[in-house]
Amino acid sequence: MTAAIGTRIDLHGATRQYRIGENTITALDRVDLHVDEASLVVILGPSGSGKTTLLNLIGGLDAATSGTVAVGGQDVTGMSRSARFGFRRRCVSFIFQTFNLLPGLTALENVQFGADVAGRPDAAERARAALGDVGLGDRLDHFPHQLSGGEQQRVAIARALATGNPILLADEPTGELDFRTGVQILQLLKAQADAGLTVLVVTHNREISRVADRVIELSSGRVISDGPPVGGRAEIADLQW
Amino acid sequence: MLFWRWSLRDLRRRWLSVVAIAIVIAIGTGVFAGLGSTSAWRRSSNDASYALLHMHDLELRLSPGTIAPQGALAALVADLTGTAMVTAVQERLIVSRQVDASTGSKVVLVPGELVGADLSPDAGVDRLSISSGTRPQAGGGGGGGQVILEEKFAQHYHLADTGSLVLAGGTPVRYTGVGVSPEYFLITGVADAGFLAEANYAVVFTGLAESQRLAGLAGQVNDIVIGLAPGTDRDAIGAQLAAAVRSNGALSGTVETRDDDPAYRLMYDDIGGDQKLWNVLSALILIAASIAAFNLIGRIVDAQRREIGVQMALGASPARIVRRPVLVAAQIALLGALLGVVVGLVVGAAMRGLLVSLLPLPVWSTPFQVGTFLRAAVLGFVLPFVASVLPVRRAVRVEPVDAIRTTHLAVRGTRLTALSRRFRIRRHADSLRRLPLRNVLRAPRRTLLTALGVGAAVSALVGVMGMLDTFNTTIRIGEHELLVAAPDRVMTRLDGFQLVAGAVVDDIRALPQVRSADPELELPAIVYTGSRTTEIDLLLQVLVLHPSAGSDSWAPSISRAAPAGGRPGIVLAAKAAVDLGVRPGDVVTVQHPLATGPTSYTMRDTDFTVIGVHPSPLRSLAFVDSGNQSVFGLTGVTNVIQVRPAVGTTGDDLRRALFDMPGVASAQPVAAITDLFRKALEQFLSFLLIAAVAVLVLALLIAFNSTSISVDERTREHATMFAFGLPIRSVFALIAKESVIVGVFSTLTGLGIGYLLVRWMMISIVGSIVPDFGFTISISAMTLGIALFVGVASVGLTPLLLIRRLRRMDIPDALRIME
Repeated sequence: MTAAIGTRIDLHGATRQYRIGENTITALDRVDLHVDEASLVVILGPSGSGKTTLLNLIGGLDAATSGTVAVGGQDVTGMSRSARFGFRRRCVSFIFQTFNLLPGLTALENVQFGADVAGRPDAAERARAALGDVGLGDRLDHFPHQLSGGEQQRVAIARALATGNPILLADEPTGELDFRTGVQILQLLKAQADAGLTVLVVTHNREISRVADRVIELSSGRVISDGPPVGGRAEIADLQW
Repeated sequence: MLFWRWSLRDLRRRWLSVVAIAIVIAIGTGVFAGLGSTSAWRRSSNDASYALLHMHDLELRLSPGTIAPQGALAALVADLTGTAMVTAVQERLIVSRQVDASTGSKVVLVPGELVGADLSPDAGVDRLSISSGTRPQAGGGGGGGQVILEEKFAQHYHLADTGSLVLAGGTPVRYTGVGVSPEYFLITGVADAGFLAEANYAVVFTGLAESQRLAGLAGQVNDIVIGLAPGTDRDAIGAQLAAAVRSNGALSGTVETRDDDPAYRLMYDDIGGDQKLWNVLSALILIAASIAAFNLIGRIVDAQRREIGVQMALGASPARIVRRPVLVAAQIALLGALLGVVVGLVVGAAMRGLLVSLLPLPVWSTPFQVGTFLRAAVLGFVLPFVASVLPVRRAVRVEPVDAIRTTHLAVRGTRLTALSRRFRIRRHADSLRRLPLRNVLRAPRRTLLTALGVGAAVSALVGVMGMLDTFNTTIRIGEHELLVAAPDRVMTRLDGFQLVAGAVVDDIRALPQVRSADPELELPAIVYTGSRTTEIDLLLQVLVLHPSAGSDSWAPSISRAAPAGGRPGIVLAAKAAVDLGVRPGDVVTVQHPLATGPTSYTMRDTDFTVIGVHPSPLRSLAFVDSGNQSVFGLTGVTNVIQVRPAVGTTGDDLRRALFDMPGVASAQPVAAITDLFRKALEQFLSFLLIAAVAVLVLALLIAFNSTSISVDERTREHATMFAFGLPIRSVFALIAKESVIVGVFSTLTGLGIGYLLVRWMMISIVGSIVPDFGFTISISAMTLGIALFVGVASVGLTPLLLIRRLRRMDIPDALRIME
């Protein structure tokens, strides 16, 4: 399924405007962007720069006001709301800053939820394997509130992985975590990109962007730079924040 | 001002919940106010009606069969020493008469009485109020066969305002209108009919002279009513009058004050009893509304937990912090109290309509009961405050750092949560299937609050509707018992006791319309046990308890039969047995009449063995086998005959044939008794229906609101599911399943509590109002269905109403919501 869908991301003049009362706020302004498969891309920018909006457009959580957003050759912009639901089931997986685990389910069940929704027939096995991959093989039956923040975020990553979808969209995945835990999370995300997934990480932390294959920097809804990290790629072990 | 604006924004944001809570409070307080107004209305209307028609203060009624020349009774009153206090007197002639009020389409043959009195509009005492039609000619004196028909009887049979009647003996009269006099605001005159017997008792008013003509008692009277000046000692004048009667060798009779008049007494006594029931009902609804308001407001405050934490972090004092939730509560309270007045007026109007139709008094005074409404409004205003206290207290006691924590640590479990984890849920292959039950268990407090709200509504619903069911079941049992055999029988009451082998009985048996005639005895009696702590009035029926095989005579169904053990046996109503604390085989004492001569009786106490119980709800009905007639000294005599129509003869034909027979006082189909029975209980049914409608609306609102808030609280989880591409229908199904689980739990709890409420209300409250009925507590399939609908279906389907909200959810925004 992954191969059939593809992971190329193309944005042409993607614009997202919001109307708040009489005012129109342009969150994203005519963004052109192309992301190749299998890479760790960091979208960098200060608060209000439009990076989460960009992630939401790519993930089909939101629709562009104008321009096009295509993922794996599918025009997400033109999709109906229900088609976008299907798109999210098959193409993308989210990792949120605040984890958003389902508190009624255990770690294993949360991860299995991702696989179930994506329609994976071997959901339970995939979930176990994903949790094993993120180092939580011994925390399967713990509920979210019984886990630390880092563990919860690892469960969230496992949930995203268990979907088997080719694109991981992570919105400030280390924002709630301490340095050491944040590093662990970055290592996990990097490993997924190395394994062939496209991983888009939104962050305001320039230090994190150093480990990316590519850094797209936004300001006031526009792309102001796009390329490899300034000063070259760093190893995760070298990061400091 | 800041807090005021802030709280207004809170209201605007949650306007739907706010309006729903306000309506919940409004229904609670409105029903309280509406039902609470009726006692004041009834009392003031009674007072006004009795005053308008100058209800007598004293009445001298001569003994049955005794008459006096017109003027003799007035002279007796004139001779009293306190005569200066007498403001009005009126001699009357009152005689029993069967009445044929049949119309082309229906046969109406009932016992009744002809009342000859002053029909003029300015009569000094016991004035007749004409509600429609005109007074008889000749200055209201009645004449030329003109009469006035009692209003409730006419209403019951939907008779025209004017028409024709035939009095027993074949005397036609024309009624020129319908009306009522103070003694007949309630009809009390028919045997074993109890009160509200208008269906089976026709009162016909006419002028005194006309009544004398119709009764063949020219110049005779048998009754006098007396009006006294305000402040006069009625008892003293009454005692003088009684002494005067006793000293007059030619007269015998009884003197009664207005307080002795059974209708007058009941008109007032009933108010207190009924109000007790309304108080319990309105309290029940108010409690359900309070729990719901508590639940809903509490959850609104809970949702402000983080904001309260922020305020605390900024150094705001608890006193300052509580302003916002308290202002929200105040605004909801104000809205609820105002709407409560509107609901109260609506309930009051419905109650007024019912009261007026049940009791057509000449004056109905139903002013707005300021005090009652104020009390209800205060309650409606205070409730939300009380409801907000606990959650506000909880919120301000949390450490600020905990309150503002937004992520994983914010979702800590409580002790209840920890307990819920002990429930292991079978693992489904699909994680989605586990979610609903998990969600229910993981937040026990939220689940319990929702269940409490819905359960309270279901309890109130079952409580009120269960009472309706119980009344209906009781009526059905009574009907079934009376009609289980020989349902076409006509209960024929005789003028006094007649020999079974005498002419009257023989003549009845000889009628071609008669297939069989079974003579019985019907006697008043009192039953008690050794300690005499409980005495019950009985209507003792002496008949063949065990008809021979093949007989089509009616006999009571006897359960738990026991041998008589050498004593006469008695079959008591199950309710009488319970009240007396006896079981079959026990001995009770019956105080009964014993014939000491052809027309003389004395009262005698005889021990009877309880040989069984019968299922009729009428506690006063008791049966003795005809083999024991000698106990009453009445062997070979009868006063009631079970008559069955011959093949091809209708019941109406039979009654027509019996109507004019000498010695027959009345001939009523047995179904008429069941009608009376139904009528007696239906007054409650009508009022309860109003309460049931209010409770149903309340229950639906509570169900909707509780579920709606639950869905709101899960917004972020639903957004997460949407982010993973779970379709709306699947999320809806999850919510619906979760709601149904809570609904089932709530409904089962509500049903249990509701059943206990019905039991308590029927036994402790209604049982004390109408002790002569034995109620069979029951919850009908329809009530169960409605409870399930409210508690499960409506709760489960409420997410449907929220589906638009789900569809329009701003997923990115919802995902950022901080708990």
